[in-house]
Amino acid sequence: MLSIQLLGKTALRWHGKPLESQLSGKSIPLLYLLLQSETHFLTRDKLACYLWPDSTTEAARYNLRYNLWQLKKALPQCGSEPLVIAEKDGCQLSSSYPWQCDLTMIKEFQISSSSNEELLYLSQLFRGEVMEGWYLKNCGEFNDLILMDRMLCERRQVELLRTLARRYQDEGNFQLCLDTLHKITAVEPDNEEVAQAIMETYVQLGDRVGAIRYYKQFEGVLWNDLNISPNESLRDFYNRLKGGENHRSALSVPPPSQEVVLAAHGIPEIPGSLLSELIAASLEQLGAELVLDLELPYLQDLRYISSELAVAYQKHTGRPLLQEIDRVPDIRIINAFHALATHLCDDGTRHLRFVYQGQADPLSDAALVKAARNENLTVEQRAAL
Amino acid sequence: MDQHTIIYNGCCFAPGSAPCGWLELEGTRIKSMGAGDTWSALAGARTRLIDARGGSILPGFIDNHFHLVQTALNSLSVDLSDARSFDDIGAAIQAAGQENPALPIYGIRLDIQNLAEKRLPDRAVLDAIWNDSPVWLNTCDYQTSILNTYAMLYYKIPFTQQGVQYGPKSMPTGRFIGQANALLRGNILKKTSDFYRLEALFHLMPQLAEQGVTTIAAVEGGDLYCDRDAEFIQDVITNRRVYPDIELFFQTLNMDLVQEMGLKRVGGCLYVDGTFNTRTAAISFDYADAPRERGVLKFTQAQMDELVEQCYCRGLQLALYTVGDRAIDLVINAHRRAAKLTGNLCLRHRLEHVELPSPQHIQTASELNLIFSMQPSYESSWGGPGKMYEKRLGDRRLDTNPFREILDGGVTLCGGTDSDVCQANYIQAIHAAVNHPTPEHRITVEEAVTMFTSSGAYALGLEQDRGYLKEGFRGDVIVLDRDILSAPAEQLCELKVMYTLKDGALVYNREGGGFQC
Repeated sequence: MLSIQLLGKTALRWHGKPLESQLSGKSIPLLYLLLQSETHFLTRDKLACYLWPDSTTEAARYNLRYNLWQLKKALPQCGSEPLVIAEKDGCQLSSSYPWQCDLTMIKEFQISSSSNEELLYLSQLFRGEVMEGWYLKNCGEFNDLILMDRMLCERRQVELLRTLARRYQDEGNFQLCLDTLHKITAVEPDNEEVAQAIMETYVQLGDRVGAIRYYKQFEGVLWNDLNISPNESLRDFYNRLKGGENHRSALSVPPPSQEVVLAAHGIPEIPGSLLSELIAASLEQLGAELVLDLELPYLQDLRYISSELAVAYQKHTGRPLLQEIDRVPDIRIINAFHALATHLCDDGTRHLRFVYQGQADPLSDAALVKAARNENLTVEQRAAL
Repeated sequence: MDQHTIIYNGCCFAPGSAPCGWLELEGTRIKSMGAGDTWSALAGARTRLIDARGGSILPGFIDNHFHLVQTALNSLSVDLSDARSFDDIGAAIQAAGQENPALPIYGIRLDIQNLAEKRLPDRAVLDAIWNDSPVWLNTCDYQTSILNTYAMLYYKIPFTQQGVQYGPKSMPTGRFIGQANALLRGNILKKTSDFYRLEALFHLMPQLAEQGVTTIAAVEGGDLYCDRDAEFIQDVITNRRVYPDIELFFQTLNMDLVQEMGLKRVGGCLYVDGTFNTRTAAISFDYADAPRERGVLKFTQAQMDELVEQCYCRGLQLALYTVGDRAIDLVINAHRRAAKLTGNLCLRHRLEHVELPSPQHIQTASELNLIFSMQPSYESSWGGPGKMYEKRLGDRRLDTNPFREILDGGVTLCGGTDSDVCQANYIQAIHAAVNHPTPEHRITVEEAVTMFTSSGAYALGLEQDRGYLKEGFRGDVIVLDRDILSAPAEQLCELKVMYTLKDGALVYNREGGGFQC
């Protein structure tokens, strides 16, 4: 069997014996062109166009004949046909000659129908770049083919590894899952989703310290490569782990350990009055730093109904909390309050109870209905005194 | 036998000491100083005599913020700052290619605003210009890279990252921005051999000697650069003798690695915020030309607290990039907290650039023994009416780089050029500090020279060894063509370095062959 390696250092092996040193010129590029084409057939004119675009037709055809002769001479005869069948109109790879090529395998395999073992085998074929070290001067189309194949292979590699990791995760093979995820980082070193998956897998393996160490390493990589910090989700996960929580429970939202009651009295006739009181209570009881960590657009919308929020913002940041528009529509206030409620319960360490007496104004009522969808939040109405 | 040198007929820069007109060096050290003709008794047959002709004799300049590897690599690169069209780019690349056909061609300082085509070239354009070797062009802010096809096949391209630009038929155009650009830069710089780095460093040495710098704080590694640069500099410091002396700041958050490398300091351009030019420096007011834009802080207070505390606990001197007042605030708050926790005020932590400090910042920095490492050349480039500071900051441009207030507030102020953001020219930097566009911020010539000598040494913990003209101190000495202390302020930029001595050896002689090393 002829083994053709086009990823990494190009190599041709016949039963393990290297043959590539017997080829010179553009024989390997010629072979590559036939291998990468879907039908493994290309016309002589097309081959000449790829490999000798600046030559005359006669010169190009001569060169093609020479390289075909080289291939025929270097590659062992097997059966009735050589590997490359030279016809009048074009060249064709033999269907009976025993050969295998890493690039064709990568292009042809179906991820979804391949077994784990097959995927693992295929993942090992990604030894380097397609046609590594090859560049043909003035052969723009040929060089573009290599670029396209490199793009394809990188995408396939990531897709393959993600699938494999997911399968290992589903099967409970956490160590294999971890090893596979690390392979993805070699291609996508700054992928935060993968980083989070790696940390979660460490935790599933019972290695909280490993997860924490990995975060610090990844944080450094992100900083060095992109000058950014990890996203909030990743930071929160890290903080939960660092906080010494039962590490497995850091994976899911842990049961809140603390109930915080925010009590307020609204004025039913004034839209948003109850929400305003609740915001003031959250500032007082939970602290400005936590409340003001909410995304700025939501803060700006809530500023419409809460002067306390504006004051706290000014005091905390040294700059005014500006409202974007003169009148904020009710729907935005409802959504902003919902975002605030979610944010306050987000880390899962507290359960919020909003308690109010009497009737809520319609705007506040609608906002509280939406906010109450959060499982860590309860809204309680008490009778007016 | 040790080299013996006497520099006479000059004006020794030794504030607070009696006036001296001559300096004696033996071996690598300053041996003695004096006035009048008393030096003549010390001269022997083997003494090198240098007539300063009335010029200043100064300690060699110390640059506290210098991107050494990038400056060196860029010195071998094609400077495209004058390119006004694709034809100009083509001519420059072809000239470089013909000079060194086998080597990759790196182009820098490409500015789309200068190009007649008002767009950046793509790989098709570059292929038509040069396809014998890889070509890599950088815009002036390093935020965009452009490769020819050869380079795209030669370097590792991060195809799956955001920022790869595609054209017709979904083929890459050769232009990279954002994450893809950052990763690509890292891949290219990692592929650059240390041999090439060393060659670049040797290529740069004569220029440095001409400017009179004898110690450089090299800020290396990290975002937009390459960690390999830091490792290379560490290797050079450990295993080679090069000019000038190099002190390494590794721009990394990996404190374990820093300590494994035996380094005493960390940081440099560890970005807490961005730049005024891109409106990413974090300020407490709106940008004058972009209402509601106030820049970006790259750390939360909690993150900064943790980072700074780590350095205090590990005994590492920390240098952080802070441009806008909000960034300065964040860092000073962290230092205040860490100082309170540890009681350690001896590490001489630094803030780099510090372009917009408030009086409160200055006061607190003084209390915490923080050092401001600043670049007077910024005021030449961006300060004054009509320039970038005013466009971005409006009237607040009058508050930038307040050297006078910083010195009066008791904060140690050391100088750097931030090469090659600005040119490594210390006379120009001194001129810029003395002639600050805002008169209230101006400092004296003596103070400006001190920024680049004794204060520079102090900022690196080397004040017992260099930065002064004193007996026993390192023989790093320069001679100017005029007395810097008596030159009119507006003429300071005309002064020239005539001689540079490093460890007592003459490395530069302007009228005698230039670089001597």
